[in-house]
Amino acid sequence: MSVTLAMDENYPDICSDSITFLNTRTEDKVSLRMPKDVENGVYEIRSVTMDTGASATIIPEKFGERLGIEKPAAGQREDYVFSGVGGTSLCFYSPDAVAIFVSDGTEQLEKIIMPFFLISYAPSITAEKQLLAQSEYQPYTEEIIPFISPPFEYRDDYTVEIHSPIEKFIPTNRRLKLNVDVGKGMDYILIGRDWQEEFELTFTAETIIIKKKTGGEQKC
Amino acid sequence: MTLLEELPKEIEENQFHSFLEKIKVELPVDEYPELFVHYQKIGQRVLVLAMGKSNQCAEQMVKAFEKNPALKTQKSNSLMLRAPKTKFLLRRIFPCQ
Repeated sequence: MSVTLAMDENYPDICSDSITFLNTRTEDKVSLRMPKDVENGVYEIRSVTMDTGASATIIPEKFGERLGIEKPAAGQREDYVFSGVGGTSLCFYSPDAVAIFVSDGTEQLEKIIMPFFLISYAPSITAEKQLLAQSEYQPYTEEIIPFISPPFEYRDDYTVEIHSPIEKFIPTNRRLKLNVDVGKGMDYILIGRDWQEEFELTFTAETIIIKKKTGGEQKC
Repeated sequence: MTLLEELPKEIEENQFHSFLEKIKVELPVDEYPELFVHYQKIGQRVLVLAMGKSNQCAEQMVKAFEKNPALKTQKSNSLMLRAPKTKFLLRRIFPCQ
Protein backbone atom coordinates (compact mmCIF):
# COMPACT_ATOMS: atom_id res chain seq x y z
CA MET A 1 0.00 0.00 0.00
CA SER A 2 1.12 3.53 -0.56
CA VAL A 3 -0.20 6.97 0.12
CA THR A 4 1.43 9.71 -1.84
CA LEU A 5 2.41 13.17 -0.77
CA ALA A 6 1.44 15.75 -3.31
CA MET A 7 2.16 19.45 -3.43
CA ASP A 8 -1.00 21.51 -3.17
CA GLU A 9 -0.34 25.23 -3.33
CA ASN A 10 1.99 25.98 -0.42
CA TYR A 11 1.51 22.82 1.51
CA PRO A 12 1.85 19.16 0.89
CA ASP A 13 -1.23 17.10 1.54
CA ILE A 14 -1.64 13.51 2.42
CA CYS A 15 -3.63 11.95 -0.38
CA SER A 16 -5.42 8.87 0.77
CA ASP A 17 -8.98 7.78 1.18
CA SER A 18 -9.25 8.10 4.93
CA ILE A 19 -7.42 8.08 8.22
CA THR A 20 -9.29 6.93 11.31
CA PHE A 21 -8.25 7.39 14.92
CA LEU A 22 -9.88 5.19 17.56
CA ASN A 23 -9.51 5.42 21.32
CA THR A 24 -9.33 1.74 22.19
CA ARG A 25 -10.71 2.32 25.70
CA THR A 26 -13.53 4.81 25.19
CA GLU A 27 -14.10 3.82 21.55
CA ASP A 28 -14.29 7.48 20.54
CA LYS A 29 -13.48 7.63 16.87
CA VAL A 30 -12.56 10.34 14.40
CA SER A 31 -12.32 9.65 10.71
CA LEU A 32 -10.73 12.09 8.31
CA ARG A 33 -11.28 11.85 4.63
CA MET A 34 -8.14 13.09 3.04
CA PRO A 35 -7.54 15.63 1.83
CA LYS A 36 -11.09 17.07 1.75
CA ASP A 37 -11.69 17.32 5.50
CA VAL A 38 -8.23 18.60 6.06
CA GLU A 39 -8.60 21.35 3.48
CA ASN A 40 -11.93 22.34 4.98
CA GLY A 41 -10.37 22.77 8.39
CA VAL A 42 -12.60 20.15 9.98
CA TYR A 43 -11.37 19.19 13.44
CA GLU A 44 -9.13 22.24 13.44
CA ILE A 45 -6.23 20.54 11.80
CA ARG A 46 -5.01 21.02 8.29
CA SER A 47 -2.79 18.03 8.04
CA VAL A 48 -2.06 14.86 9.89
CA THR A 49 1.45 14.48 11.12
CA MET A 50 3.04 11.09 11.00
CA ASP A 51 6.24 12.13 12.63
CA THR A 52 9.29 9.94 12.38
CA GLY A 53 11.77 12.48 13.62
CA ALA A 54 10.99 12.06 17.27
CA SER A 55 10.21 8.38 16.80
CA ALA A 56 6.87 9.03 18.41
CA THR A 57 3.58 10.27 17.13
CA ILE A 58 2.54 13.68 18.36
CA ILE A 59 -1.07 14.72 18.00
CA PRO A 60 -2.63 18.09 18.90
CA GLU A 61 -4.13 18.15 22.37
CA LYS A 62 -7.48 19.39 21.13
CA PHE A 63 -7.64 16.58 18.66
CA GLY A 64 -7.04 14.23 21.57
CA GLU A 65 -10.11 15.62 23.30
CA ARG A 66 -12.15 14.54 20.29
CA LEU A 67 -10.84 11.05 20.94
CA GLY A 68 -11.98 11.18 24.54
CA ILE A 69 -8.46 11.65 25.82
CA GLU A 70 -8.23 14.16 28.63
CA LYS A 71 -5.02 15.78 29.70
CA PRO A 72 -4.30 14.52 33.22
CA ALA A 73 -4.62 17.20 35.86
CA ALA A 74 -1.58 19.11 37.08
CA GLY A 75 0.23 17.06 39.65
CA GLN A 76 -1.05 13.86 38.14
CA ARG A 77 0.86 13.92 34.93
CA GLU A 78 4.39 14.18 33.65
CA ASP A 79 5.10 16.38 30.69
CA TYR A 80 7.70 15.58 28.10
CA VAL A 81 9.81 17.82 25.97
CA PHE A 82 10.79 16.80 22.47
CA SER A 83 13.61 18.85 21.10
CA GLY A 84 14.48 18.51 17.49
CA VAL A 85 15.84 20.55 14.68
CA GLY A 86 12.38 21.90 13.94
CA GLY A 87 11.62 23.16 17.40
CA THR A 88 10.58 22.15 20.86
CA SER A 89 7.34 20.43 21.74
CA LEU A 90 5.80 20.06 25.17
CA CYS A 91 3.62 16.98 25.30
CA PHE A 92 1.79 14.66 27.62
CA TYR A 93 1.79 10.92 27.14
CA SER A 94 -1.50 9.34 26.18
CA PRO A 95 -3.27 7.44 28.94
CA ASP A 96 -5.12 5.43 26.31
CA ALA A 97 -3.98 3.39 23.35
CA VAL A 98 -5.05 4.79 20.00
CA ALA A 99 -5.64 2.68 16.93
CA ILE A 100 -4.87 4.32 13.60
CA PHE A 101 -6.28 3.04 10.36
CA VAL A 102 -4.92 4.44 7.12
CA SER A 103 -6.88 3.47 4.06
CA ASP A 104 -6.34 4.19 0.40
CA GLY A 105 -9.77 2.86 -0.51
CA THR A 106 -8.71 -0.68 -1.22
CA GLU A 107 -6.25 -1.55 1.50
CA GLN A 108 -6.05 -0.61 5.14
CA LEU A 109 -3.07 -0.27 7.41
CA GLU A 110 -3.78 -0.65 11.12
CA LYS A 111 -1.50 0.17 14.00
CA ILE A 112 -2.10 0.66 17.69
CA ILE A 113 0.07 3.29 19.26
CA MET A 114 0.52 5.33 22.40
CA PRO A 115 0.79 8.86 21.06
CA PHE A 116 1.91 12.01 22.76
CA PHE A 117 -0.39 15.01 22.80
CA LEU A 118 1.00 18.41 22.08
CA ILE A 119 0.45 21.05 24.73
CA SER A 120 2.65 23.74 23.25
CA TYR A 121 5.19 24.16 20.54
CA ALA A 122 8.02 26.58 19.90
CA PRO A 123 9.73 26.47 16.54
CA SER A 124 13.46 26.63 16.92
CA ILE A 125 13.89 29.48 14.48
CA THR A 126 11.97 31.90 16.68
CA ALA A 127 12.30 30.40 20.14
CA GLU A 128 15.91 29.41 20.00
CA LYS A 129 17.30 31.66 17.31
CA GLN A 130 19.19 28.69 16.04
CA LEU A 131 18.76 25.18 14.87
CA LEU A 132 18.71 22.49 17.48
CA ALA A 133 20.84 19.63 16.33
CA GLN A 134 20.12 16.04 17.06
CA SER A 135 23.27 14.67 18.52
CA GLU A 136 23.45 11.25 16.98
CA TYR A 137 21.65 8.68 14.97
CA GLN A 138 18.67 7.26 16.80
CA PRO A 139 18.91 3.49 16.66
CA TYR A 140 15.69 2.64 18.42
CA THR A 141 13.30 3.79 15.76
CA GLU A 142 13.40 0.59 13.76
CA GLU A 143 10.10 -0.75 15.01
CA ILE A 144 8.26 2.49 14.59
CA ILE A 145 9.54 3.81 11.28
CA PRO A 146 8.07 0.97 9.22
CA PHE A 147 4.63 2.04 10.35
CA ILE A 148 5.06 5.75 10.44
CA SER A 149 6.85 6.06 7.16
CA PRO A 150 5.23 3.71 4.67
CA PRO A 151 2.18 5.85 3.98
CA PHE A 152 4.52 8.41 2.53
CA GLU A 153 6.29 7.91 -0.71
CA TYR A 154 9.63 9.57 -0.86
CA ARG A 155 9.39 12.74 -2.90
CA ASP A 156 12.53 14.54 -3.80
CA ASP A 157 10.69 17.68 -4.85
CA TYR A 158 11.45 20.30 -2.30
CA THR A 159 14.16 22.58 -1.09
CA VAL A 160 13.77 24.93 1.84
CA GLU A 161 15.16 28.29 2.77
CA ILE A 162 14.33 30.04 6.03
CA HIS A 163 15.27 33.70 6.45
CA SER A 164 15.52 35.90 9.53
CA PRO A 165 15.74 39.69 9.37
CA ILE A 166 17.69 39.74 12.61
CA GLU A 167 20.39 37.19 12.20
CA LYS A 168 21.96 35.24 9.50
CA PHE A 169 22.55 31.67 10.38
CA ILE A 170 25.18 29.42 9.02
CA PRO A 171 23.99 27.47 6.01
CA THR A 172 23.62 23.86 6.90
CA ASN A 173 22.54 20.70 5.24
CA ARG A 174 19.39 19.13 6.60
CA ARG A 175 16.90 16.56 5.55
CA LEU A 176 13.40 17.69 4.96
CA LYS A 177 10.34 16.32 6.67
CA LEU A 178 6.97 17.70 5.84
CA ASN A 179 4.80 18.49 8.82
CA VAL A 180 2.40 21.37 8.68
CA ASP A 181 0.14 22.71 11.40
CA VAL A 182 -0.68 21.24 14.77
CA GLY A 183 -4.09 22.78 15.23
CA LYS A 184 -2.67 25.58 17.32
CA GLY A 185 -3.32 28.31 14.83
CA MET A 186 0.15 28.21 13.45
CA ASP A 187 1.71 26.58 10.51
CA TYR A 188 5.25 25.46 10.51
CA ILE A 189 7.59 23.26 8.63
CA LEU A 190 9.62 20.83 10.58
CA ILE A 191 13.03 20.23 9.16
CA GLY A 192 13.70 16.63 9.92
CA ARG A 193 16.45 14.18 9.32
CA ASP A 194 14.38 11.35 7.95
CA TRP A 195 14.46 12.04 4.29
CA GLN A 196 17.07 10.27 2.34
CA GLU A 197 18.59 13.36 0.80
CA GLU A 198 19.89 16.44 2.51
CA PHE A 199 19.01 19.94 1.44
CA GLU A 200 20.98 23.06 2.06
CA LEU A 201 19.22 25.45 4.40
CA THR A 202 20.06 29.11 4.77
CA PHE A 203 18.67 30.95 7.82
CA THR A 204 18.64 34.63 7.02
CA ALA A 205 15.06 35.85 7.51
CA GLU A 206 11.72 34.99 9.11
CA THR A 207 10.22 33.96 5.83
CA ILE A 208 10.16 30.32 4.98
CA ILE A 209 10.49 29.62 1.32
CA ILE A 210 9.79 26.25 -0.15
CA LYS A 211 11.17 25.70 -3.57
CA LYS A 212 10.17 22.83 -5.73
CA LYS A 213 13.25 21.52 -7.39
CA THR A 214 11.61 21.46 -10.75
CA GLY A 215 9.68 24.74 -10.58
CA GLY A 216 9.22 28.14 -9.02
CA GLU A 217 9.26 29.03 -5.37
CA GLN A 218 6.34 29.52 -3.04
CA LYS A 219 6.39 31.52 0.16
CA CYS A 220 4.76 30.32 3.37
CA MET B 1 6.63 -16.37 34.97
CA THR B 2 7.90 -12.94 33.99
CA LEU B 3 6.20 -9.69 34.88
CA LEU B 4 5.14 -9.26 31.27
CA GLU B 5 3.48 -12.65 31.28
CA GLU B 6 1.58 -11.83 34.45
CA LEU B 7 -0.22 -8.86 32.99
CA PRO B 8 -2.67 -7.51 33.88
CA LYS B 9 -1.39 -7.68 37.45
CA GLU B 10 -3.15 -6.38 40.54
CA ILE B 11 -1.10 -5.21 43.50
CA GLU B 12 -1.62 -3.27 46.70
CA GLU B 13 -1.25 0.48 46.26
CA ASN B 14 1.41 0.67 48.98
CA GLN B 15 3.49 -1.83 47.02
CA PHE B 16 3.27 0.06 43.76
CA HIS B 17 6.51 1.96 44.16
CA SER B 18 8.53 -1.15 44.88
CA PHE B 19 6.79 -2.86 41.97
CA LEU B 20 7.98 -0.10 39.65
CA GLU B 21 11.52 -0.71 40.85
CA LYS B 22 11.06 -4.40 40.14
CA ILE B 23 9.94 -3.56 36.62
CA LYS B 24 13.09 -1.53 36.04
CA VAL B 25 15.21 -4.51 37.06
CA GLU B 26 13.31 -7.10 35.05
CA LEU B 27 13.17 -4.95 31.94
CA PRO B 28 16.83 -3.91 31.53
CA VAL B 29 17.92 -0.69 29.92
CA ASP B 30 19.69 -2.31 26.99
CA GLU B 31 16.54 -4.13 25.94
CA TYR B 32 14.10 -1.45 27.07
CA PRO B 33 15.71 1.94 26.53
CA GLU B 34 12.23 3.34 26.85
CA LEU B 35 9.99 2.01 29.56
CA PHE B 36 6.36 2.89 30.12
CA VAL B 37 3.82 1.62 32.63
CA HIS B 38 0.05 1.90 32.37
CA TYR B 39 -2.22 1.22 35.29
CA GLN B 40 -5.60 1.82 36.86
CA LYS B 41 -6.36 2.59 40.47
CA ILE B 42 -9.14 0.49 41.86
CA GLY B 43 -9.77 1.43 45.47
CA GLN B 44 -6.66 0.63 47.46
CA ARG B 45 -5.28 -1.54 44.71
CA VAL B 46 -3.46 -0.85 41.47
CA LEU B 47 -4.08 -2.84 38.34
CA VAL B 48 -1.05 -2.77 36.06
CA LEU B 49 -2.28 -3.14 32.50
CA ALA B 50 0.85 -2.73 30.46
CA MET B 51 4.56 -2.17 30.65
CA GLY B 52 7.49 -2.02 28.29
CA LYS B 53 8.05 -0.08 25.11
CA SER B 54 5.37 2.27 23.96
CA ASN B 55 4.10 0.08 21.14
CA GLN B 56 4.13 -2.98 23.39
CA CYS B 57 2.03 -1.12 25.94
CA ALA B 58 -0.52 -0.22 23.32
CA GLU B 59 -0.95 -3.85 22.36
CA GLN B 60 -1.05 -5.04 25.97
CA MET B 61 -3.74 -2.53 26.86
CA VAL B 62 -5.92 -3.62 23.99
CA LYS B 63 -5.54 -7.25 25.08
CA ALA B 64 -6.39 -6.36 28.67
CA PHE B 65 -9.56 -4.61 27.54
CA GLU B 66 -10.49 -7.55 25.36
CA LYS B 67 -10.11 -9.91 28.31
CA ASN B 68 -12.07 -7.68 30.63
CA PRO B 69 -14.17 -5.00 28.88
CA ALA B 70 -15.26 -3.63 32.27
CA LEU B 71 -11.80 -2.10 32.57
CA LYS B 72 -12.73 0.33 29.82
CA THR B 73 -14.92 2.22 32.25
CA GLN B 74 -11.93 3.18 34.38
CA LYS B 75 -9.48 5.91 33.48
CA SER B 76 -5.94 4.73 32.99
CA ASN B 77 -2.77 6.39 34.18
CA SER B 78 0.66 6.19 32.65
CA LEU B 79 4.24 6.61 33.75
CA MET B 80 7.45 6.78 31.82
CA LEU B 81 10.08 5.02 33.87
CA ARG B 82 12.86 5.36 31.38
CA ALA B 83 13.56 7.45 28.28
CA PRO B 84 16.78 7.52 26.31
CA LYS B 85 17.94 11.00 25.51
CA THR B 86 19.54 9.77 22.35
CA LYS B 87 16.23 8.53 21.10
CA PHE B 88 13.82 11.35 21.66
CA LEU B 89 16.09 14.05 22.89
CA LEU B 90 13.32 13.85 25.36
CA ARG B 91 13.39 15.06 28.89
CA ARG B 92 10.92 14.55 31.64
CA ILE B 93 9.49 17.51 33.41
CA PHE B 94 8.21 16.46 36.77
CA PRO B 95 6.46 16.80 38.98
CA CYS B 96 4.02 18.83 36.94
CA GLN B 97 2.46 21.36 39.26
